[in-house]
Amino acid sequence: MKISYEWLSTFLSEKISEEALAELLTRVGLTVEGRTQLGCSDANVVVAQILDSQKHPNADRLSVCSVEDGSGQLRQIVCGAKNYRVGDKVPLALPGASLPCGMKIKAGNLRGVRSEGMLCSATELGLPGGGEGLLILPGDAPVGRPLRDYLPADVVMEVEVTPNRPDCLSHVGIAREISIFLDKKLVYQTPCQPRIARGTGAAVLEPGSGCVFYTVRRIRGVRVGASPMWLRRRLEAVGLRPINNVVDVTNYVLMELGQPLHAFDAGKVAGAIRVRQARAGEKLLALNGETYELLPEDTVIADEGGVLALGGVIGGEGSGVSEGTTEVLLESALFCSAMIRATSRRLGVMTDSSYRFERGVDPQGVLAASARATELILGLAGGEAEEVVVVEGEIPSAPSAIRLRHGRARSLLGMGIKDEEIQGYLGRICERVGGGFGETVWQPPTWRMDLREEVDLCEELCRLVGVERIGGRVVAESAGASRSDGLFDYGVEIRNRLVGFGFSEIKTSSLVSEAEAVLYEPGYRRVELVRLRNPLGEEHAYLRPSLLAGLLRVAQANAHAGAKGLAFFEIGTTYGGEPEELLTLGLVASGAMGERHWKVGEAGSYGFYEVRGVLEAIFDHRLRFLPQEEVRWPFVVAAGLELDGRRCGVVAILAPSFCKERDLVGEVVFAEVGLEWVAEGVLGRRRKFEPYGRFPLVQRDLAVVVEEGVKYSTIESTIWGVGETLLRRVEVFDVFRDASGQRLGAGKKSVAMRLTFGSVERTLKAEEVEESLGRIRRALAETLKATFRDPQSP
Amino acid sequence: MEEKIRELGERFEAELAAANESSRLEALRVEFLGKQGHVTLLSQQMRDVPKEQKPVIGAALNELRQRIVKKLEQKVAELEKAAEAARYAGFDVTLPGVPRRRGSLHPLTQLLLRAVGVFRRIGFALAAGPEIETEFHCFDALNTPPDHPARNELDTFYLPDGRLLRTHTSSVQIRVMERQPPPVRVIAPGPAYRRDEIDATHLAQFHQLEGLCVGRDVSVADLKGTIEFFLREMFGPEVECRFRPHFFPFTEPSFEIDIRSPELGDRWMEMAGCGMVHPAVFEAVCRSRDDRLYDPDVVTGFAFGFGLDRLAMNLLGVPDIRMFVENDVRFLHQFL
Repeated sequence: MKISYEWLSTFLSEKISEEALAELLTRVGLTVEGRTQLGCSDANVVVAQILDSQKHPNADRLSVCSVEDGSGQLRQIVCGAKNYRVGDKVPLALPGASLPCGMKIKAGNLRGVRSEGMLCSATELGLPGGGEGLLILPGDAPVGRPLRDYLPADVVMEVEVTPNRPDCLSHVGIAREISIFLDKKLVYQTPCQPRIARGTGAAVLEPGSGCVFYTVRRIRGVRVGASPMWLRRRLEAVGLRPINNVVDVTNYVLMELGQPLHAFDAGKVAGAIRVRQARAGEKLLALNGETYELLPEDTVIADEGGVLALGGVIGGEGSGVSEGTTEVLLESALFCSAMIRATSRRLGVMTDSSYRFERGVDPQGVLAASARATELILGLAGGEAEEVVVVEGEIPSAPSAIRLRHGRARSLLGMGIKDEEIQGYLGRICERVGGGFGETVWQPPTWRMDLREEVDLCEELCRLVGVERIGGRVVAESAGASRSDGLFDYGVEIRNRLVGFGFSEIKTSSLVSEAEAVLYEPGYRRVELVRLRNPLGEEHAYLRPSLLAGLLRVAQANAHAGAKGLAFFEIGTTYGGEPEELLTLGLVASGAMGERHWKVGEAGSYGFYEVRGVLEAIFDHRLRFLPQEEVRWPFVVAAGLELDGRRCGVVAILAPSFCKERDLVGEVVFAEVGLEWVAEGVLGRRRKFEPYGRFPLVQRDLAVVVEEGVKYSTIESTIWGVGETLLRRVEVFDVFRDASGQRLGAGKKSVAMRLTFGSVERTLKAEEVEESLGRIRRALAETLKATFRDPQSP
Repeated sequence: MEEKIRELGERFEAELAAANESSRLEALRVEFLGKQGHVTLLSQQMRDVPKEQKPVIGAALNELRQRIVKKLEQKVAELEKAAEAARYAGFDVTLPGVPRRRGSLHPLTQLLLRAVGVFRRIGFALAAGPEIETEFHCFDALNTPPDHPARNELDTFYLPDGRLLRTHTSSVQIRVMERQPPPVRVIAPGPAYRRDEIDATHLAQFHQLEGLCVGRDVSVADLKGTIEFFLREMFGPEVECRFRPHFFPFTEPSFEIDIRSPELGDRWMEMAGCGMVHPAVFEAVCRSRDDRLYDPDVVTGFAFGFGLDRLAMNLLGVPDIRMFVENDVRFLHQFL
């Protein structure tokens, strides 16, 4: 909310600098988010009167004015504006003045004509409602006096009022808060309230209308016209556009007291005012020019002819106060916050009025605001107010008193505050209505609807004492590691390993487009796509089922930016299906694994086996890679990952055609692993020492020739399947295919392996190794129809 | 005989001095010590040496043999050293090394690691909760009434089944208290979502670090001390903290925390929200647990939530929050 420093100051018993006020407001919890200087405080800007104006001899667009500046001598000023007449009073910046817009004024020659100062526009003086041309001052402006005496400079502060404090949505409200903190009296005289009259028939409040308490006062014989300068200036300072003296008063009182008001042109109201629910199909052309279709959940103010206003939200175009109005109906009421909120949301119209009713308005302030506005209207527009205010409905009862246990307050705040101090502080806000040993009972004022229970009083105490008076205390306690700790640490470990292998971590949004969501369906878990009911746009409508889309997006952007060699990973949640949220690792790699070097030459490129190697290393060779027969686009090759017999991920080569569309060249490999599942096997794992062989190992090479279709994993499992207890390790060192078909035969491949034998107990004899190898060969020959490329074929 | 031994010794010395290749040394070895070598041949003449002289001559011959062996070894080693030195002469250590590409941790991860480290040092364990949340855990249990503005469809992402994407990690507070009895000292990092239009300071998905401490006699003083400790550890001892009274439905008193330090441009910057857990939150937990372990008359607690993205922007001087999700390597690799 915007507040005017000048206006606010009138309610404070003591002058407080603008700087100190901003500081105090922030400390109190009314954060000052911005400050703007309004008007000019420089004494060298004075009120002047234009006594003559001639065309500039050398410039078509300029004039040469003679102005009276109070010195008794005429001053010559060259001026570019056109909007003035001789005789007008305008602001004059004398040489030496510095203006809020940053301009420094000097005497000088403009196109050969002497100019001793500058006539100013509103904008140049930092005043709102600027526009083109000079600021024309009212006739009562005193010539020769500094402008600041006539139009005091002001500072507008943008204050953040939290939703629990609607009582601070006004100048008096904020001044009251400041006064409490300074322990000073608020300077505000509530005007005398007139008698009330119920059941007059002038206003009818229907049950269920959404209005709790309704008042209306008739003022006859008003003369509608422009508001005086001081009022216009205050309204403009807080961001309101002056309209006419009656409407301006309602807005002024709203900003002063926080009670929304509305003025109807009584001449346009037929019969009694009815406050009721809208009827389906009713429409209102509102003051903002929009037409709204209404529903029974909207509160309306109506007359015999139909809807006049949307209660508590906005007035109607047809019944507003305008130039010709002579009789006014001044409404001050209390509307139900939930209904106002619903209406305001549904119709998308938020006004100063609806904003306050939504948050809560002081029930006791309704009549006071009406009296204040009446007083102002009579003063500015003349006329005569009816003796009584017509009233319907009831003012809600005052909130109940609150018991405060002083011990509780002390222990919650963590400070030893004395009983007398507690009472002293709270007494500034509430009225003490009872108490006993170590406790007091307090009646909060009607405008403090946020004070309902003990903890609310503790908070008030904390604010009043000042949190800076509470000393900080650090208590460190033992905290055993949770499952989350384990998972977090495992994630860090995997991240560090990947970073060591040259992969860079990325973070992408969980929200993806439909095209991205359906890009790839993880085969390792059941996925149900989750679409948001109210996405911000189609680009972010789905929760990602896989990390692939984000990884590709980043890879593509970096490729476009000229990055050579892409290696990225992300650890994040994927969504939908079973489980609904899964901590997942995804990685993508393509291009050079390193830089070209003068000694080594070009670095190798990422391919399927490079990525597989990384996965084997980071997961300690715990994953199994299973051939996947059915490979779906955008993959051309895919392997399922398995951990302890459970599918947990995938590694795949992306289709070159798919990559080409994304300007990714070379083999692009993607892998995804349900990290949470892999972690489960590791968390809490205790490693135990295993004896290792102190005896020499024996190695034998074996080149197996098999049909092209036989997978390596089959060969290896066949070898292990023989159950040779001395066999320690099987490594492939060559896979050979003979294109000519001469050396291997068509459709065959040779897989050369090194078999390592050893025992932890003794040195092996050559014969036992040969016998073992023989059994392995026979098994391969029998099961896989393998032949062997070495001379010792069985 | 003794004369011959001496002469042979001198001859060897002379030839050794002239030898400067290892092949020549081998030849020398054969020439002197081989089967037909000078020393061997001289040894054969021992037969003719009178018996009383034999020990002396024998010793002299033996000494000669040993000396030759030793000198040859020394010379071999010398030559080898010289050859090595020649081979490595002019080696240019200033040429660049073979590059090993190292990746990088995302700056948000690096920040989180630091933050988690700080809280672990004062006895906070990690906790987690789902991102797809129920209205109960995200709002109702956190004392946020059904008609609260934050709950409407303009600000919160909803799923078709009525659940939502959590708007803050505060929902983890409820999850943790439902799961475990007091005392509680946990931190919970994770993403949260708000239906904000994306710009330089807003993303629809952002990262928070939530904290919750519940026990007997937990007070504002504990909240202050904990937060101040964290901020000093993160930003250095010269950082100033300000607790500005604020409003959140689920804490009371509530504060926003601002920090200021010369390094960060010497202006107040909002860092986090925090406060004392509202009694209504404890009551909701009691109802959900169906016991009174979190009776607000028995336990009190504090909670806080830091925006990690904003923290990272300030610490690293990153001008646009979107850089964190664009993941340009020129950005990522600045924070190796």
